[in-house]
Amino acid sequence: MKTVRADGGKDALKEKLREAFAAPAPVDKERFLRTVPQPQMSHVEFMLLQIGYMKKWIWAVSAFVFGIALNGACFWNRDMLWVIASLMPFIALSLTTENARSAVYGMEELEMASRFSLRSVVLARLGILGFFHTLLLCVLVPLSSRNSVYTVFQTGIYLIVPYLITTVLSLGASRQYHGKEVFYMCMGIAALVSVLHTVISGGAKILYTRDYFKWWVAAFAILSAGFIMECRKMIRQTEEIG
Amino acid sequence: MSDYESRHSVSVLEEQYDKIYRYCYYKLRQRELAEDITQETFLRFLNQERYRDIGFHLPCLYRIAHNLCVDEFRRKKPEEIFSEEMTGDEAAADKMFSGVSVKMALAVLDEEEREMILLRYVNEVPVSVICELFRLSRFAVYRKTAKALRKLEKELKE
Repeated sequence: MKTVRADGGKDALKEKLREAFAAPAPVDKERFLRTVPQPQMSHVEFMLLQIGYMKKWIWAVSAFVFGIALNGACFWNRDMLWVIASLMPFIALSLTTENARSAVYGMEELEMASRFSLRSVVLARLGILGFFHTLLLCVLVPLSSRNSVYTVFQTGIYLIVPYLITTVLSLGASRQYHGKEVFYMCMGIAALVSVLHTVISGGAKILYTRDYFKWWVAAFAILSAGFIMECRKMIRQTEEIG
Repeated sequence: MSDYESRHSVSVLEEQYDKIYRYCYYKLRQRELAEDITQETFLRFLNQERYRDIGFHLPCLYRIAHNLCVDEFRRKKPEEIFSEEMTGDEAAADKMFSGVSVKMALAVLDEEEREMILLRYVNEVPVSVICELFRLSRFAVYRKTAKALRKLEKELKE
């Protein structure tokens, strides 16, 4: 009587179980799914909802850098540009790791099965952090240029370039690697950019003279284009997972 | 939300619909009744604030389905439900426990073990959700499902 053997191992057994528990096809499914009322949510509500799910340390890193900039500019009366510029990779790190959180914890598949698509969640996180970092930069640039010899525009470029280098490299790495490796790669890139910036700003001051500024502007333009490309690739990748 | 988002939402809903329907069918063994209960489950679930905010909370979805099935059992006696099934055309089309040997093997499991097997290996419900549904620890769920699988394998080998 017992014709089915569990010879094929656990996978075969699970397949048999699926067959054994199979139900006749539902007849009213299509109509129900077409007509079922779905609760609506506006973009703003969705963004506000996502803020609640973001890690606290992301805000803490930004608050820490802001605190240093504020103290340096207002109380210590020191040129804080190089310190803040060396810390910018860590602000960028908060953006890249937040975006790669699903990949770090291997949750992409599960997130695709949740009500909101992974693409929407990633876009919302990018949007929130992008907006927040823009606001932060708007505060950091004047604070950093306060005791500096450079203009506000130059200060802005010197701060944004290390941020963009870290972001572009980390977004590229997060597409190539999986699991915890993504987090370690992003950490490594942020630390490397920060250290390199500290070394260059200390030992090669010539790079920060007016003669070289056009190269900084060119780097800013190239990195901005690279950032947009990386974001597009990342969004395409989340769609492919779906 | 965008078109992409609504399409995603419908595809997720569709996937969960099949799983909840299978669960209800397992409980009630009657296609029409199972489908009615499945739709009632979704209507109740979609009206919850929790779905609007965080989406599919599987323990909640399965809890509603379970409670509605229990209510149905209370409203109609189980014999009535099963006799309806046997007299209808569905009896012939019934694919539940279609494989004779697997059916017999599943019969050696108790109700809780069978339900766990259905949830874990057929509906692919995460262990954490099963823990919440059965109010058991993760360890207990692993132990019980492993034991049930061992029993099944033993039955099938004999």
